[in-house]
Amino acid sequence: MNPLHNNLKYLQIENENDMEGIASDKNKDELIRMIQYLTASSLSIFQIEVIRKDLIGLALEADKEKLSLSEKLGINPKDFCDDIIQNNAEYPSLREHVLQESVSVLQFTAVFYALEFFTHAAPRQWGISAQLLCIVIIYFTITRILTSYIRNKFSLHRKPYMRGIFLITAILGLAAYILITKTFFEDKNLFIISGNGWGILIVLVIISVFATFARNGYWNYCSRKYSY
Amino acid sequence: MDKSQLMKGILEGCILKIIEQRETYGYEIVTNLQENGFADVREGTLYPLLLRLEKKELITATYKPSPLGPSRKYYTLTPQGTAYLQEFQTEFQEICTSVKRIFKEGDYESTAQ
Repeated sequence: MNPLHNNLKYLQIENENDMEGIASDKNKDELIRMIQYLTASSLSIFQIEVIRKDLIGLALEADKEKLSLSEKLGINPKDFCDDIIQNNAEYPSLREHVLQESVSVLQFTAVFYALEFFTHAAPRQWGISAQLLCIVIIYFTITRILTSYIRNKFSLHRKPYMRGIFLITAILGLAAYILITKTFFEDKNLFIISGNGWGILIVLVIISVFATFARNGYWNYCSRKYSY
Repeated sequence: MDKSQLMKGILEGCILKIIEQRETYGYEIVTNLQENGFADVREGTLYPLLLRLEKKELITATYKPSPLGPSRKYYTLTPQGTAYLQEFQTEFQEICTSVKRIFKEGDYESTAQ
């Protein structure tokens, strides 16, 4: 399997596209609620996406037969989900989320380090600054985690204004970054790690690349395990 | 009478037998079971069982394009599944024989009284 391919991403995009084909809003909402319930159980992120793919297939068949998703399943959706959860012995979603976010943090840090480094004319001595860590923390807390929380809490999946909410949180994040750097770091470069600028850049890039391959390798393993 | 306890172990064996006959998918398995007397079986009861059988590596699943929409999951029996099915058939026959004997003997005794 190709380490450059993120099978989880492909599966998620496939599912988002297939969801568009479900004509009944009721079936769509029912499906979303079932997936949210399964997500709360800490099942593997990948397995949940495979189950979502199968449920989308059922929902599309239910649409054709003019049935609700519950009628097509023939049992209470909650009992259906409980059955799936009970049949699983492992609940790896926490370590999978940690894996996903760690790789994203590394990639983000490498990109923003490179931006900072080159905008300062690539000096020989440079480092990972406090401002950089600040923007990484703001990005991950405000834009990713907060957006995800709002989306799940208010069931705003697939609402057209979700992009607007993401844009607003990104702007808020940027504003917070500018305010914090102006207040605490004006005219100063406080380095957490300092050294040869190019050396740090190369190390960050290599670590990001290996972390990305490791993450993709894990999703490839899940792809074989869950028959995708 | 609550049939679910009786059904639990039996359904798995029946599903494996259906899959043994040819590569098949969920809706076909449900239809097959319903046509053979398992009228209460629906997609919702079948899906977790298929997941369990996959986890035990008794069946494998492959997605194949479907003419009617998104790709469908097709199931085939693994060598372990074939061995498990043979064991199931043997044990089920033994249990059936014992149960029939008890009911037949029971009928004889009640008739004699």
